[in-house]
Amino acid sequence: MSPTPSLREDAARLLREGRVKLVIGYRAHAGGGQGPAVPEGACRAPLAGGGGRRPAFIEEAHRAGELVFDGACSQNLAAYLKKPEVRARMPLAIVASEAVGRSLVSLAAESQFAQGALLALAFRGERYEGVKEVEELAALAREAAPEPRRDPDIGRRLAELAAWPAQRRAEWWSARFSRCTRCYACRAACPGCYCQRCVTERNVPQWVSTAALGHGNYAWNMIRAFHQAGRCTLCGACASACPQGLPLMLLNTFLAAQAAEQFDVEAGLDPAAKPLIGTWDPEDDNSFFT
Amino acid sequence: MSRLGVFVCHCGENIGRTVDCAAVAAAAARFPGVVHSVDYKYMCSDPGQSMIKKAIADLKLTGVVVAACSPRMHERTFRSAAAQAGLNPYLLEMANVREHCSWVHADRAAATAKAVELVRLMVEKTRRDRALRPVRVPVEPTAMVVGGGIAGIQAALDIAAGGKKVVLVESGPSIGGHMARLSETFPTLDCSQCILTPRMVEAASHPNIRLMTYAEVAAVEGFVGNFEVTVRRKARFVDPDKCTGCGDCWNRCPQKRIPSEFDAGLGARRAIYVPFPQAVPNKPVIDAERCTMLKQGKCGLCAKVCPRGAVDFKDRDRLEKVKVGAVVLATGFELWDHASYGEYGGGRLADVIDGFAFERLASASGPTGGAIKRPSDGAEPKTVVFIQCCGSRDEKKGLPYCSKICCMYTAKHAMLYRHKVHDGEATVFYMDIRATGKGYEEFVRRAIDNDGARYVRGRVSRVYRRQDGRLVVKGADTLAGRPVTVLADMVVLADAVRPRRGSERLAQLFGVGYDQHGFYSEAHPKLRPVETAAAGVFLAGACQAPKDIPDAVAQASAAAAKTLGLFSQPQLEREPVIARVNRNLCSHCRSCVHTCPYGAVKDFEVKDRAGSVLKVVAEVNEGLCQGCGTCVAVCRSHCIDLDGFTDEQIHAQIAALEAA
Repeated sequence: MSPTPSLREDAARLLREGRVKLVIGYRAHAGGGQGPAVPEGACRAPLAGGGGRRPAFIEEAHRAGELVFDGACSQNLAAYLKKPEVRARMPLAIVASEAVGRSLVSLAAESQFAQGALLALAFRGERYEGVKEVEELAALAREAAPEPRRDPDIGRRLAELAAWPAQRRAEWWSARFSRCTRCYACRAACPGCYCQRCVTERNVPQWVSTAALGHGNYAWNMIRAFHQAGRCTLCGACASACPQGLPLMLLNTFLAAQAAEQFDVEAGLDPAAKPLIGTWDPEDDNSFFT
Repeated sequence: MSRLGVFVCHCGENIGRTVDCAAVAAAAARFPGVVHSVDYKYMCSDPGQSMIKKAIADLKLTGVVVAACSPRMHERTFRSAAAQAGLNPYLLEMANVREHCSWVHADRAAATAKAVELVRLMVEKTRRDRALRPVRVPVEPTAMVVGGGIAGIQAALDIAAGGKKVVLVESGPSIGGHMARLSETFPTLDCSQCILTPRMVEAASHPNIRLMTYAEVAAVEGFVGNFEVTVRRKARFVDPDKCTGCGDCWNRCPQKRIPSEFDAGLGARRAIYVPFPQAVPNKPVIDAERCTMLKQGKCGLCAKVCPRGAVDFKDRDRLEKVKVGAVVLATGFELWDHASYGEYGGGRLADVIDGFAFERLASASGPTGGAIKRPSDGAEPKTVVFIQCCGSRDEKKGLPYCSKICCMYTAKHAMLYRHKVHDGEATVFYMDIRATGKGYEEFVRRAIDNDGARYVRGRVSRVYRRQDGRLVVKGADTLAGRPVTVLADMVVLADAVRPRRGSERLAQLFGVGYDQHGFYSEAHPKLRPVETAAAGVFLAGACQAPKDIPDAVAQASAAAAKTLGLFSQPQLEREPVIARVNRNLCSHCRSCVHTCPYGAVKDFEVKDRAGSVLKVVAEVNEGLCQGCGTCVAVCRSHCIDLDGFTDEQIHAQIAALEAA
């Protein structure tokens, strides 16, 4: 826990000086045990072992000493920015691993917090980098990942799936999705799922059936994946939250790769990025029109 | 509870031949919410419309479905009938059982079944229709005309004559366009400048017209009735208010050998120049690329000799915002670069020239004073070959379309040449002669019969220079079925007409469509040839398609009529098919803001009574929104809906189809 002293000092200073009202970070969990498992395909370090970690919400400078950071801090804290009670405490600071940092940059691009409303206590690996504005966080992310990071195992499994006939692939996914209980833990864990009303909860008209069955399950999981296309930073929070162990990172990685290959879009690196779905350029490839 | 009326039209035989209209009406009578269902031979006829009106009044209908043709055709007709009967017109919908059904199917039973389904869908939609009111937006009664050629001048003059203000934006130093460069004009051979310059002067002196020459459109904001156009006024380096156009500066400028664009490179101009003597305004500009003072800080002679101190080397481009209610695009054309036809030697052989170069040779104000002299040595060419369709009607190497004006101007060129060089021979190679205007065929016949132009039907394969300097034109006479070789002193290529370079950028600024060649797209090729897909933006002249002067002028007047029509009311009524954001549900991801092709979605701050911002959401500007629905499609939480085409309506239609 070598980096933590200056993390604690910075957090205490920001709170003391009134620059932030809240610091979101990690604390050691008294009960011990493991944090959420890191799923295959997530672009962050696997658990380094050790004790459990829980989110910490610190509003008083004297409590900053509770903060810890190490490889076990795998939960994506950016998801808390969805909560109204957290948003009401802006400006705030958030302890940002590389994965959290990219989520924050992605959220900044979608104007989910005002400029200056959020500071990051940024880490690169386990090295503390100091207090960063969003632009600096983006620069850090670009520096840390000059090339898109993709899990090679996921890549191989995607290639296998791609080689199958479409029918077999659809059946394979149907079988996976049939296990979905529609608990929406994936949505709760995902920083990008911040819609005030999710499309699946729309009932007039109801486009997506909410029953945890066949078509509704298929539609829900596919729609969620497509809603993340060009936005997902591959943090893996959804897959590690899924109690049924659905291979959600296959979908996320596939769409991220498509976004990168076809449109040169890599989420979480540019706070001024325009949305992939919904922007167009006269120079876009139009060859698919016949 | 809905009380709907369904009216099935036979459209004479158009629908009735393939669809059993009576059966459709009978089936529709059983749909939920339908209280009245009939069929009739011509619903759009007066008795047909009266049936609808009477049913609305007598049966207190809450909605109407007319199963007939496309809504583009008659929606307006039926909606105004509904309005006359006291029903909100947006509670009337059309089921297209003609274009979408009878015209595309042969099997009567299947087509009838499909028509029933189409009516079922519209019944479901109409049950969920809400009364809408037209959107009203104020109008700024000033027009902008972009392009100061004959089309732009005509449009500006007509709008000004109608009593409205016009801003005429021209990218060059003078208005006049290509027409100012022509010697004579077909089919009457009147002097081009003689008929054009009075118009130029009138445009410059008209109290309702403001000229902005040497200026370009840099940015466009706003919408029909309320555009805000940012115009880049390029640095002239000469203060037009001080300058009297005396000419001392350009006569003394030491840069004497700059090829004149106006003279197609055959003549020269100075670095400080007016493009031609009748230029409007007759105020020079300095070509910053050629002026040694601006490039190296040496010379400054023009500033020294100017009696008014009008030369200002510190002048810079300026941006000016102009508010206008309508825009006429009249950006014109340019000639296709014949260098791509290497075998004709254009751009390589000095005596192979384009049509504009020939115009300047034949023009009394041209570099030769109207004497036909070939560029290489100034000798009078005794044989001239004119090659038509250079780049036109050539899908392989050129452009697939016909450039329309070349048949006529080539006949004119041959005629002018024979008038000036009595012992000269004029040979024209052509594919077909397309002379379809008033007096055009007679004009071409005159060139052939009276002026002795020799017309050879066939393509030229190659033009090359012999050692003695003469040009060898090798081609085929496809009527005689044999190869032909003609020795020529000069060759004139009738290069294809194409839109001006950069016209696509302008189209994108205004949200106007354009085809694969860059010609601007009209809203409808037959019935709305002057309008564009962007409301309040009209087209005039060759920016839309190759056009001769009469066509360009006619279209310019049409565009002016459209503009004046728009300005005739203080407020505009727009179709209320617009997107709406549910503020309670919007998460402000701004996808819609980025995606809107009309810039109609903006941030909106929701405030409490004390004025502090509670949250920021997206909001649709009713005047800008064109109802395209793109924002609806990108909104992940479906918190945007389109009036008249709500999610609920579309879902109900799909569900009805599934249930059937």
